[in-house]
Amino acid sequence: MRNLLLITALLGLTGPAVADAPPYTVVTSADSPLAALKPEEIERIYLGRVQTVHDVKVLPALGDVESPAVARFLDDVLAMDGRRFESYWRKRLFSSRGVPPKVEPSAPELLRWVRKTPGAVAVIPAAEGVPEGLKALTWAPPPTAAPPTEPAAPPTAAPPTAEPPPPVPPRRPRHPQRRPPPPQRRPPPPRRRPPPPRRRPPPPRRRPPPPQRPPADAPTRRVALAAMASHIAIHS
Amino acid sequence: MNTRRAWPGALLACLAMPTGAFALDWDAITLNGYTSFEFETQLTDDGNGDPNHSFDADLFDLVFNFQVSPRARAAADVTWEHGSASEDGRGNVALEYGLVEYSFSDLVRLQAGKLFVPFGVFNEIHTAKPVFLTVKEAAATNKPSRIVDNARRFFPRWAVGLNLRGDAPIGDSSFDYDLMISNGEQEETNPFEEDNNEGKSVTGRMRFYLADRARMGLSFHYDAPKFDGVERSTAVGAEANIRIGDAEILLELVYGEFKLTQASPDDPDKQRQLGTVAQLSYLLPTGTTPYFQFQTIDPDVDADGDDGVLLVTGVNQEVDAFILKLEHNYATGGDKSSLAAFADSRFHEIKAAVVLGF
Repeated sequence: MRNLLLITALLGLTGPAVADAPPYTVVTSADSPLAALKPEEIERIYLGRVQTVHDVKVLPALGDVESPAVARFLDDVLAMDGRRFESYWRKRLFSSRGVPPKVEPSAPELLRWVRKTPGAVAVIPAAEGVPEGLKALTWAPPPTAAPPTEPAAPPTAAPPTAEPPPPVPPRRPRHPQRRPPPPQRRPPPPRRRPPPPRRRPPPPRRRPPPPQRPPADAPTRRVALAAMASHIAIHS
Repeated sequence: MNTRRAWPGALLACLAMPTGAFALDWDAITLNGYTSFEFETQLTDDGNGDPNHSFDADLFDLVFNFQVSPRARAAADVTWEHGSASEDGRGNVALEYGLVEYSFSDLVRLQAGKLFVPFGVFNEIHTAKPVFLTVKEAAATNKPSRIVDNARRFFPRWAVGLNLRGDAPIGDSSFDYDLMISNGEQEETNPFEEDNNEGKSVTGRMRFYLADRARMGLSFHYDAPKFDGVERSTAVGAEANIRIGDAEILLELVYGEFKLTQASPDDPDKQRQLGTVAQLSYLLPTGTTPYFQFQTIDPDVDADGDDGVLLVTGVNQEVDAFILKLEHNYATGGDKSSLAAFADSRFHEIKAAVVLGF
C-alpha cells in the first residue's frame, strides 16, 4: 500500500499532503552553494562514494542517531539499518577508504557545526523545520521525469529558498526519473509486435524498474542506532 | 626582570608557536580503533590448533585520520599485537598502513605510503575484527599456509608504493577501483624501504556495486619476487557479496600461478594454486549473526591429495558496543597434505573472541 501511495504521489496524481512525507530534512548552511541534491547524490555522499558535489567538498553529518528520523533516513536513502550502516563504514574506515559521516547527537551542536562548516550537510528531524541560517536541500525533479497527468498536482519539492521547504527526499525517491513513464511513452499496441524503429519503446535503461520495496521488516525493526554514536568517528 | 618567571613563559611561548602554525582543527582529526581478546582450544589430541587453552591479547589498533586540507588526507593504523613488550621480545608492533592521499576528484585519488595490498575481500579488512564474522580472517585466500603448510601467499599483505583509487557512479550502480604499483615482496632487504630488483609489482581491483545489495569484484596481482624459489607470481581473484534481506552470501575465488626457480631440469617450473571461500550468514534482530564459512586451498592444482579444507561454524553476538564471537573450526586435508600428519587428517578447534570497535 505504501508503494502504491508513493508511485501515485510521484506520478502527480495526488498532492504532496497525501505522500508519505519523511520525518527528516537534509540541510546545509544558508550560504552554501549547494542548492539541491538528488536522492542518489545524497546516497553517494553518505556512503562516502563521492566527496565533491557540484564542485563543493561535502561533509556529511547525522543528527540524533536515536531518533526515528535518522533511522528512516538510513532506510529510505541508503536501504540500510543502523547496524548495516555502521558495519559498512567500519569496513571503509579500517581499510583507509575514508571516515564516516559526523555523528552529533546534540541538535544545537549539529546546527552550529553545519552553519560554520562550508560544505556541511546534515540530516535533522523534519519536525524542527529549517532552523535559521540553514536551508533545505530540496530534491529537484530532473527534466526527464514523467509529467503529471493532472495539472493540479504541484511538484513534491519546492525551490530551495521556499519557506518552509518540504522535507526531502520523499519516501523511496531513489531514482525518480526511472519511475513508470507516462502513457504516451509506452510502445503502441499490439504489445507483442515490434513497433517500427522510430516508435520503438525506450531502451532498457529507461524502462521503469519494478518499484523498490522496502525490507519487509523495515517498519517494525528496532534499529540499534544508539551504539553507532559511540562507534563511528569521534569528533570534537 | 625575574628570570625564574621568564623561563617558563618563554618555554610556553616556544611550544605554542609551532602548535599555532601547524596544528589541525580537531574537526579535521578522527581517532578510531579496535581491539580483540581471544581464546583458543584444540579439541583433538593433535592438530595445528592450541592444545593449551590459551588466552591471547590479540591486538589493539589505533586508526588515525587527518583531513589536512579539503583534498589532502593522511591516515595511519598502528597495531600492538599479542601484548607487545619489546624489552622481552614479545608480541609485535607494526604500522599496518601509513599513507597520504590527494583527491584530484572522486574518480582520481592518489595515495602514497605503506598500504594494504588491494586484492580481494579480506586483505583490506585485514585484522579489523569488528568488520568480519570469524575470529580469524579467512585463510584460504589470504594466509593459505594456515591451512596447509606448503601453500603460498597469493599476494603480499602490505606493500609500499603508489595507489590510484577512485569511485564513480554508473547509472543506478557504481564502481570503485584500486591500481597500485609497489616494490613487491622479498626478504633480501626491507621491501618497505628498498626493492631488491628493478621490476615493480602491480596490483589492481575493481568492484561494481549493483542495486545496493550486491557487489562483484575482480582483482589481479603481479610480482617478480625472486625469493623463496619463486621467480614470478601472478594471481587473479573474483569476489561476490550478495545481501538478500538479512541474509548475506560472500564468495571469493583466487587462482595463483608461481614460476619457480628450477634447481634441475626435472624440477617443476611452475605451481598453480587455487583458494576459495564461501560464507553464509544471517543477521537476526537480536544482534545475533550465525554464520557458516567453507574454505578450500589446493596448493598444487596439478597434484592430488595435497588440498586442505577448513569449515567454520559460529555466531556473533552484539552486546552493547562489544561483539562476542564463538566458533568451531574443523580442518581436514588430503593424504598428501600437511594435515595428514594428524589422526584421520583432521582436527577440531574452538575459538572465541571479545571484540570492540570504536
